[in-house]
Amino acid sequence: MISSKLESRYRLLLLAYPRHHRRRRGEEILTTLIDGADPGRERLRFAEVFDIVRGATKVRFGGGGKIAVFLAVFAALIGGFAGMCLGSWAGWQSAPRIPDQVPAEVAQLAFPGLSGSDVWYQPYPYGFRLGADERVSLAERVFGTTNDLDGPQTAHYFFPSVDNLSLTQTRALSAAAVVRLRRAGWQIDGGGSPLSTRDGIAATRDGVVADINYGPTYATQVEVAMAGPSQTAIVVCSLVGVLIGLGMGWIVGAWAVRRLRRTGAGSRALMGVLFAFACIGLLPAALGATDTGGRPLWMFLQYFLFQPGIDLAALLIAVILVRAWRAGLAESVTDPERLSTS
Amino acid sequence: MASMQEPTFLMLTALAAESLHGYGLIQEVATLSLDRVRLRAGTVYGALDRLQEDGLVEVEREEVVEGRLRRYYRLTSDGSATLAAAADRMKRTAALAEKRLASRATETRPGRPIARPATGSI
Repeated sequence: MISSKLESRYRLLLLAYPRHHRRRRGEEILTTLIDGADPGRERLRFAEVFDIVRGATKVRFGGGGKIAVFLAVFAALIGGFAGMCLGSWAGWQSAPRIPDQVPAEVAQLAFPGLSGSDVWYQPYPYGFRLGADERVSLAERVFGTTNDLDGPQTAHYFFPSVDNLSLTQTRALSAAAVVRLRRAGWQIDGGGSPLSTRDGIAATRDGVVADINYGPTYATQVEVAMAGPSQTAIVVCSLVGVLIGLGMGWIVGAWAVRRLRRTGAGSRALMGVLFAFACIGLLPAALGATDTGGRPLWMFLQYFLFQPGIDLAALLIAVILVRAWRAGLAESVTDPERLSTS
Repeated sequence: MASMQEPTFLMLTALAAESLHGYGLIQEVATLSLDRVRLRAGTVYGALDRLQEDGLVEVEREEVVEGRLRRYYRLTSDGSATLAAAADRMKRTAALAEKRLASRATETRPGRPIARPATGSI
C-alpha cells in the first residue's frame, strides 16, 4: 500500500514540470513513480528528485537547444547579481542605528578643535549626486548624514582644516587620536570595518565602528566614516539574495524561452539579438562591480542605475518579457485543448 | 536517426514485442540489460516525449486502474524500421570488432617472447 504522504510529496515534486506538461503527463508520471515505490515508504529518494528535476529542466529548455540553456543561465546570472545587490542592501538595513551624537564625538576625538561650521551636510553619499548649493572642494565636503539614505549605517566626513599636512603630521595626528579614542572607551582594532579601505584607525564601541583615515589617497585630509552593520548580516543577506536571484532569474528566463519557442523563427531571432544587446548594456556594471572600492554593492549599483547602458538593458529585457507574455496569450486563445482543460 | 543511445535502443527493443506502460517499460529495460540500465520516471517520459515527436512511438491505449492512469505505448512502423536499422548497424559494428580481435589473436603467436625496452645496465 502506497503512503498518502509519499503521493503528496510526489505531487509536490511534479510541480517542477511546467503546467502544460503536468496536464498532459502528470498523472501518468505519478502512476509510474508510485508503481516503482516500495510499500510503506514515505520519503522521496534523492535519485528520484534529481531525475524528476532533471527531466523537468529538459522539458522547460528542450527544443531550444544549447542557445536556450545559455539564455536561461545568463538570465539566472543577471538575477543573481540583482539579488546580491538587494541582499547587500537588506544586510545594511539590519544595522543598528548610530546614535546621533556619536559621529560628532568621533570627529572631535579625531581632530580636536573642529568647529561645527567645518562639517556640513551633503545629503547624498559618495558624491554621486551633487546639490546646487554644494561647495566644490573635496576637503569641504561632508558625505552622508546619520539620517539619510545610508544614514542609520554610515556617516562619512572630510574635514577642511587639515590641508597640507605632511605624512609625519598625519601620523602624529593619528597617534594622538588613538589615545583620545581609547580614553573615551573606543576599542582600537586596526581595521576590519566595511568602509576601511585606507590606512587609518578602526575603532569600535557598542557595536558602532568608526574609521578615521589619514591615507595616501587623501593625504591632506582627515576622513571619518562610521559603519554599523555586522559583516555577517551583509554576507548572509547577500548570499541569500544571490540564491533567490539565481532562482528567480532561472525561472523567468526559462519561462520566457518556453513562451518564445512558440513564436516564429524571425521573432525568436529578433528577441535573441535584443537579449545580446541587453547583455552588452549590462557589461559595464558587471565589470565595475568587481571593484566597488570598499563601498557597499547596493550603493554602487545605485550609481549605475542612472547609466544609459543599464536603462537600455532594462528596456530590452522588458520588451522580451512582454513578447513572451503575448506569445502565451496567443496560444491560450488558439489552443482549444488548453481552453477545455483550464 | 544518426546514432542511438543505449537507453533509447533498449526502450525501442522493449516496445518491439508488446505495448507497455511507463513502469512496465522501466522493468523491461532492466530485464533486457540484465539490470545494467535502470531508468527512472523522469528519464523515461523525457525519452517517450522525444520518441513520440520523432514518430517512433505512439500511444496504443489508456487504462485507469484503481484510479491511476496508465498509458500504453507501442512502436510505430517508423519506430520498427529505425530499431531494425540500429540493430543492423550494431550487428555490423560487432562483427567488425570480432573480426579485428580475431586477426589480432592470430598475429600474437604463442611462445614468442615479448620485446621489452632496455631499462639501463645492471
